[in-house]
Amino acid sequence: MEPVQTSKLNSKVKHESEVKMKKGTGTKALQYALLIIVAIFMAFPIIWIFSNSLKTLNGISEYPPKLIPAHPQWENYVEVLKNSNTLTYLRNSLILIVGNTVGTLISSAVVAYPLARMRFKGAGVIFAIILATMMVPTVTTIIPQFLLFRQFGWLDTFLPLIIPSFFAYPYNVFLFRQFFKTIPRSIDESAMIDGCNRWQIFTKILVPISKPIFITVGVLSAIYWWNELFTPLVFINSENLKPLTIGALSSFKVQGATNLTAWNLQMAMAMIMAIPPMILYLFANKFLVAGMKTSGLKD
Amino acid sequence: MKKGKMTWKENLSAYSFLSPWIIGLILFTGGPIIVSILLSLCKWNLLGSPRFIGFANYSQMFADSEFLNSLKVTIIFTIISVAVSVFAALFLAVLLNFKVKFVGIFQFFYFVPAVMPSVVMAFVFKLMFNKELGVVNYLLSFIGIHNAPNWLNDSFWIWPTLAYASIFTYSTGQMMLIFASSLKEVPPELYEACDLDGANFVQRFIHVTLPSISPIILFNVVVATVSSFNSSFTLIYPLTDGGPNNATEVLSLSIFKNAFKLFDMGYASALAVILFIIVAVVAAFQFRMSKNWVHYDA
Amino acid sequence: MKNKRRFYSIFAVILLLVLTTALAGCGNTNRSSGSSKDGKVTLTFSMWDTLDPNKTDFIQEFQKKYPNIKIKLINIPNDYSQKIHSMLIGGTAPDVILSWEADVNGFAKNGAIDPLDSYIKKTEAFNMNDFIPAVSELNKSLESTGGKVYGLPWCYATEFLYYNKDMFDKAGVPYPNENWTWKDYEAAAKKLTIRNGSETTQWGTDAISFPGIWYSMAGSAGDDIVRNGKLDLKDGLKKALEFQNQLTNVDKVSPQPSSGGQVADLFAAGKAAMTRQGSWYTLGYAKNDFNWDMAPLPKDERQYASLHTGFFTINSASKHKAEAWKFIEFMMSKQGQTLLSKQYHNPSAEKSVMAEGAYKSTGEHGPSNWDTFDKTADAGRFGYVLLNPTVTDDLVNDFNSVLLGQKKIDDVINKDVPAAQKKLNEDK
Repeated sequence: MEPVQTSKLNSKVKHESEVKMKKGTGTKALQYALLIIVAIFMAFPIIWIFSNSLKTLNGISEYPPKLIPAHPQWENYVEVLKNSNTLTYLRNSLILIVGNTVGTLISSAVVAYPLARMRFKGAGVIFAIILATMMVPTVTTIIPQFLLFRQFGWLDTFLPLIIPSFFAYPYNVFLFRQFFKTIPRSIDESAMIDGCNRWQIFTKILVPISKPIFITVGVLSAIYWWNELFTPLVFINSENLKPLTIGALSSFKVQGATNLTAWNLQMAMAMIMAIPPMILYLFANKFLVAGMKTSGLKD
Repeated sequence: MKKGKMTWKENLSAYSFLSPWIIGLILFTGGPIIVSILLSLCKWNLLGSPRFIGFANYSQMFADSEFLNSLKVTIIFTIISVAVSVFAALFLAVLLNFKVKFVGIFQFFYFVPAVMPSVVMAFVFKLMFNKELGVVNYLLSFIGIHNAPNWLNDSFWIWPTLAYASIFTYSTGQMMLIFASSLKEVPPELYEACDLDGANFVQRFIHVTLPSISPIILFNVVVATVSSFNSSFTLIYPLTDGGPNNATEVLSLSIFKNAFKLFDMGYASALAVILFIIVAVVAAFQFRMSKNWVHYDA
Repeated sequence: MKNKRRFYSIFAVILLLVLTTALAGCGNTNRSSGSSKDGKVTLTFSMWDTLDPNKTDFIQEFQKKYPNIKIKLINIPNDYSQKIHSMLIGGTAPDVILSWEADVNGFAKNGAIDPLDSYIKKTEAFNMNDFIPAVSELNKSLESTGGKVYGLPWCYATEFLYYNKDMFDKAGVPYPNENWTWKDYEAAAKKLTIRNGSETTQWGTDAISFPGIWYSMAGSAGDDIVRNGKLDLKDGLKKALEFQNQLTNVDKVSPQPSSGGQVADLFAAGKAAMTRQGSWYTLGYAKNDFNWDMAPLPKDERQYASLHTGFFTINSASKHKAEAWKFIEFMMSKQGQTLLSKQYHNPSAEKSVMAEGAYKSTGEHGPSNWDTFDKTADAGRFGYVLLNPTVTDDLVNDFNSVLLGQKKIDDVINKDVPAAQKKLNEDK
C-alpha cells in the first residue's frame, strides 16, 4: 500500500514542481520583458541627450528627428571642454560638493550622537524640533539668509553655500541617529568604564565603525550638491564662481543671438555632467543600499 | 548627590555636542523664519530701510488673482508630483525585486536619471516635447496621433509633462532605493503562507507586500511632499519658468521672482510665510496620520 | 592608534584645503577690481553676450594699448538687468557696466553710476555731436537728472525682416522691400507655407521670439508704446494681436510660440521662409547655408522699429574710475567702435564711424541690403526699451498666451496692460 501512495505523492510533487517550473519560465520571460521595457523608458531621455550632443545646431531642428545623426559631431565635446568656462564650472561644483560634504559629515554626526546615545533633559524636544525643521523648505528661509550674508559681505562667494553645512542639516542628523542606534550600547558602556569621556567614545569608537553611514550620507550629499540650482542662483553672480548647474543654464548661447541656446553644445555638456555622478553611483551602490536599510524606520 | 552631578555633566556634554546645531538653528533656520515674518509686514526694495506697512502685503496677496493661482498651482503640482514619484518608485522597486539575473544593471538604469542634474533633464524635455520638432510628437504620429498637443505651452498638457518629468527626479530615485531595500525585508513566511492559499501576484502584493511596507510608504510620502516644495523650483524654473501663462507658477518660483527680480522683499517674505504655513500644516497632518513610524526618545 | 591619528590628520588637512579654497573663492570676487603690487589694474566689465576674452578683439586691442590694465569680463546672459540690480545692491557690481536703456535713469537717480561730463570735456576720441539723432535725443532725455550725461552708447541696433531667397525663388514670390505692408507679408507667408498632410514642412514665417517685435508691431499700428514715461498700448496693440493671431491660428503660416525659451531658430534651420528679428542676427545668420537677405519690417499705418542700444557707464563704487574711463574712451573712439562693429555687425551710433561701414559683413550667402539699416534707423524709436524689462517681458508672455488660445485679446488690453502699468508705477 505504502509504496503506491508514496509514488503517487512523489509524482504529485513532481507534477507540481514541473508546473511551477513552467510557470516559472513563463513568468521569468515576462519579468525580463517588463524590466527591459521600463529600462528603455527610463534611459530614453539620457539616450536622447547623447544623440543630440552629436548633432549640429540645425540638425537638432531636423524633422523627423533622427536617433543617430548622419555625421556625428564629436567636435562638440571638444568645443565644450575647450571652453574655459566648463572647467571652471566643474571646479566650482567640486568645491561646493567637498565643502558641503565635509561640513555635513562632521556636524551631523556630532549632533546625532547625543540624540542617539545620551539621556539628557530636553532630548525629546530637541529631536522634535529637528524633525520639524526638516520640513522647512529652503525657499522660506532664503530671503533672510540673503540679507544676513549681505551683512557679512559674503554675497557672491562660496561661503553662504558651504558654511551652513557645518551647522548640521536635519535630514542627515536623522540618518546618523538611526544608524548610531543600531550599534549596541554595551560598547559605549565598556568604554566609559575604561574611563573614556563622551567625546573620546564618539571619536575613537563610534566613528570608526560607522563607515557605512558616513559613506551613505557623503554620497547623498555629493549627488545633492551636484544637482543644486536654487541656492547658487541666489548667491552667486560672478562667472568664475558658477557651479555646473548654473553655468549649464546659460553658457552655450549662440553669439549675437542671446535668446537662442546652442543646444548641441548644451547636450554635450549635459553628457559630461552626467558622467561623474554615474561613476560615483557605481562605486557607492552597495553602501547606498546598506545605508538606506539601516535607516530602517521600522523603529 | 553623585547622581545629580552626573546628570548635570551629561546635560552639559549633550548640549556641547548639540551646539553647532543650536547656532545653525538661530542663524539659518529659526532666526530666518522670524525675520521672514517681520519682513512680511514691511515694504522694502533693499535700498534704504524697510517701511512698516502692517498686513498690507497679505491683503494685497489675497486680492491678487496671481497669488491665488500660485496657490492652486502649487497644490496641484505637489499632489501630482508626489503621487507620481511614490508610485513610480514603488513600481520600479517591485520590478527590481524580481528574482532575475542582472538586477544590478537594471538598477543602474533605473537610478541613473536621479543623478542627472535637473537642469539637464529640463533641457532634454524641452527638446523632446517641442510641438514641431520633438521626438515625443514624432513617435505619437506613428500610432496615428497627428495633431499632438503643444505639451509645454498648453496649460492642460503641461501637467502630464510635469508628471512625466517627476519620474526622473532625485526624489524618485532615492525613494526607489528605500522601497527596494524594505521590500527585501518583508518576512518570506508571509509570502509562503499566501502561496499555499494559491494566491497570484496581485493578491500577494495587496495582502502581504503593501501592509508590510506601509510605514515606509507613509515616510516616503512625507519626505516627497516636503522635498517637492523645494524641487518644484529646480524642475520648473529651467523647464517652463512658470509658463505657459503662469500655469506652473508655483509658490517657490513666485517667491524667487518677487525677491530677486522685482526686489519686493516684503511681499516675497509674505509669500514665504504662507508657504511655510502650508508646509507646516501638511507635515503636521501627515505626522498625525503616521504615529506608528516615529518614536521620540524620552 | 597610529592609523587613527593618520586618519584625523588627513581629515584635518582636507578640512583646511576646503576652507582655504572656499575663502579663496571669497577673495576672488569682483566686488572691486584688484590691483596687484606691480601696478596692474584689473577692470571688471559686464555685458550680456557670451564672449571669450582671449578671442575678442576689442578687449585684446585695449589691453595692448594699456598694458597695465586687464579687462575681466563678467558675462550675464540671462536676466541681465535684474542681475546688475542685484549686484549693485550687494556691492559686487563691476567697474564698467554696459547698462540697459531702461536702467540708466534709475541708476543715475540712485547714485549708482557717475556722470561722465567731466571726462567727456577732456576727450578727443569722439564728438558728442556725432551721434545719430535718436541717440542724441535719448541722451538729452536722460539728462533729466541735472543735465548730465551718464552713459555713452556702445552701438545701436534695430529690427529687420529676414527672408530666405531660395524659398522665395522656388515659390515665385517677389522679395520683400521697404513698401511691404502687413497684407503683403501675410500673402507671401501663405504662398511660402508648405504642408505635407497634417505636418507643416515649411513655415511662411517663424514665431516671434524677441519681445521687441511685438512692440514694433503695436507701434507700426499706431500706438506710441511709451508716452510721458507711461505705457501707451491700445488700438495698435489690438491690431497687432489680431494680426499675429491670424498668422498663427487662422492662416497657420506661423508656428505657435514656445514658453520657457526658444528651442530652435526655424529660419536658420531652413524651416521658415521669413523671420522678424533683431538686426544683430546678421552675425549669426552669416553662417546660413542658403541665400538670404533682409528688409525693413512690414508696416501697417506707419514704419516703426524699436531701437536698441546699451550704455557704457561707470559704477560709482568703482575703485578704478580713471581706468574705467580709459576703457570707455577707447570703446567710443574710432578704433574701438570699428572693432565693435566688426564683432557684432551692429552699426556705431557715431555717424562718422557708421559711414565707414565696418559693421557690414557679408557672408557666403548674404546679406546685401545693408541700406536696410539706414531705412530703418530713420523710423526707429527707443520705445519699450525705456521701461522696466521684467514688466515688458511679462507682458509679452500675455501676448503669447493669446496665440496659445489661453487669453482673449480684450483681456490683455483691458486687464494686463493696466496691471503692467501699475507695476511700473510701483517701481518708482
